[in-house]
Amino acid sequence: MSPGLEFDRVSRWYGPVLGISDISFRVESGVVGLLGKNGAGKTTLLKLAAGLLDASIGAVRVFGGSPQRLAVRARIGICSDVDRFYERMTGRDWVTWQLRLAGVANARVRATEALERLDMQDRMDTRIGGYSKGMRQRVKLARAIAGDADLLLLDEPLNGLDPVGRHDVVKLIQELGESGKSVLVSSHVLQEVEEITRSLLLIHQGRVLAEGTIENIRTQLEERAHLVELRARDLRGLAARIIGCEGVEGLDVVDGRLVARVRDTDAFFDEVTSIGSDFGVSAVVPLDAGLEAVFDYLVKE
Amino acid sequence: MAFLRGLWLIFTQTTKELFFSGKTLLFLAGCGIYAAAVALVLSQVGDQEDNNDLFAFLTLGIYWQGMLPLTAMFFSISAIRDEIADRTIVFLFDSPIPRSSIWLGKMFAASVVTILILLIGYAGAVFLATRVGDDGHYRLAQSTLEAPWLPIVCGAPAYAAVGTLLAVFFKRSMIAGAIYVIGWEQFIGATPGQAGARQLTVIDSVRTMFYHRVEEAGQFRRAMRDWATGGEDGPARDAAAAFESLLWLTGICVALALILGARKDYDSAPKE
Repeated sequence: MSPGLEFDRVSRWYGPVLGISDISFRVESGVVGLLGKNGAGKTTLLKLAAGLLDASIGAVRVFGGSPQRLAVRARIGICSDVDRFYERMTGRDWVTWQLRLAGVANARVRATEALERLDMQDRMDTRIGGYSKGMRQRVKLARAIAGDADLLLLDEPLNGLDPVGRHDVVKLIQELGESGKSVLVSSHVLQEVEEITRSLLLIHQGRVLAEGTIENIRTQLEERAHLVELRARDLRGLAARIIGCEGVEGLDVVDGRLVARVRDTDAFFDEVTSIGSDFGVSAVVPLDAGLEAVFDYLVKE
Repeated sequence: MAFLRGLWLIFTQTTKELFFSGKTLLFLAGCGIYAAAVALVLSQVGDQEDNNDLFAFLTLGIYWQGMLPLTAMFFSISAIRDEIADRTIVFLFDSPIPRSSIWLGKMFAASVVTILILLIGYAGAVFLATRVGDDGHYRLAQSTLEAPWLPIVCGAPAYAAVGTLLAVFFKRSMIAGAIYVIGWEQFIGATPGQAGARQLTVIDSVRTMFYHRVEEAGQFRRAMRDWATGGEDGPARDAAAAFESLLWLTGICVALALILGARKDYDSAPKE
C-alpha cells in the first residue's frame, strides 16, 4: 500500500533562494511532527505536500499519486497558517461552503459535527469577524477534519489556543493518528510537538536533520555523551564507584547532585541499579533525552 | 464536475461579497452622478428633437467610456487581488477544484455585479430623463432608451476578462488596469478607423454596437458615422462584427488568464 505522503529527493527554490533541499521521507499512518525553526522550510514542505507548489526537483506523492490531481487532493485535509476568512460568514457557513467546494456530501451536517468536536457549538453561528484567534484556529481545524480526509496537513495547529483548547486539540490529533490517518503536524515549538507525538521529522535550513522517534534520534547521536543526573545519600561514594565504570566519560557535582556524562546509557543504568542501594540512590534522571536537547545538538552539528 | 461545482460556488460567493461591499455604493454613487448629469443637461438645453442625441452623447461619454470600463475592471481585479492580498485564496487553491473554476467564477461574478450596477444607474438616468421638462412628458425615443442594454451586457464581461488577466498576472494589477483603461482603451480607441487597431479595444466594439442601436436620423448617429467608418463614406463595421471582435478579445484574455494562472505561486516567499 502506498504511504500517505512520500517525498523523494525533493528540492524547491524560490528564484535563487533555497526553500528545501533534497528532502526524502515517508509518512505512513499515525502522527508525525514536523519540527523546525522559523524559516526552516516547514511551510514550503507542507505546500508541496498539498500540491500548492511544484517541486523544482524530485517527486511528491500522496497515496501514490501527485497531490496536484484533484482526486488525490480530495483525500487531503489542510489546516493552513492563514488567519483570514470571509469575515461576514459564520463559522458553520464557512466550513459548510468549503466542504461543498470539496464535493463532500451532507456538508452542513459534517461541518456541524466537526465544529462540535472542536467545542465550537455555542459560537458556530456567529460571524467569523467576531472570533478570537483560538476560535479561528478551531474553525480551520474543523475544515481540515470535517471531510474525513486520509492525510491531514496541519500547520501550527495549536497557535492561539488556550491551555484547555490545546489539550483538546492535542488529544484530537492523537485520536486521528490512532484511527489510521496520516497526520503531519508542523510546529516550531518543541514542547508542542513533544506533546503530540514521539515521531519526528526535524528540518533546518531546508534540510532534514533527523527522522524517527525522539529516542531513536537521540540514539543516532552516539558520539555525544548523554547527561544523567543522580541523587543519592552518599554522593561522594557513588561518584568514586561509578567514575571507573565503562562508558562514563566524566562526572560533575552540581548543587548536591551528581551529573554523569555517559556514552552507553543502558549499561550505566544497569550498573546504577545494581549498586543503588549501597549509596542510597534516590533518583536517576536523563537530562538530555528531551526534544529540545536533541534539537539543539542536531542544529549545532 | 469539480469544475462546475467550483465555478458555481465561487461565482455565487464572490457576487455576494462584491455586491454587498462598500465599493458597490461608491460605483452606484458614480452612476447617480451620471443620471443626475443626464437629467440636468436635458432639463437645461434639451428639446424634443435634440434629447435623443444629447442622451446618447452623455451615455457614450460618461457611461461607455467611463463607468463601464472602470467598474468592470475594478471589480474583476478586486475579486482576485483582494483574496490574494488577504491570503484567503489559499483556501480555494487547496480545495479539490481546478484553478480555472476560480478565475472564471470570479470573472463572471465581476461581470454580473458590473451589469447590475450599471443597469441600476441606467434605470435611474432613464427615470430622471423621461421626467424632465416643463410638462414632464415622455421625451426620449424608445430606441434611444433601449440602445445601451446590449453594449452593457456584452461590454462588462469583456472588460472583466481583461481585468482577470491583469489580476492573475500582475501584482500591481490596479495600476495596470488604470493604464489599460486610460492609456490603451482611450488612446488606441481614438486612432483612425482605417488602421484597424481600434478592434483591439473593447470600447470600439461597444461604441459600434451602440451606434447601430440609436436613431438612424439622429445627429449623434451622423456624428458617429465618421468615427465608425474612419472618416470615409464606406459602411461602418456592423454590430455582428463588433460582437465577434468582443468575443475574440474576451476569449483570448480568458485563455491567457487560465494558462498564466494555472500553476502560478501567489505566495512565493516562504512564510514561517
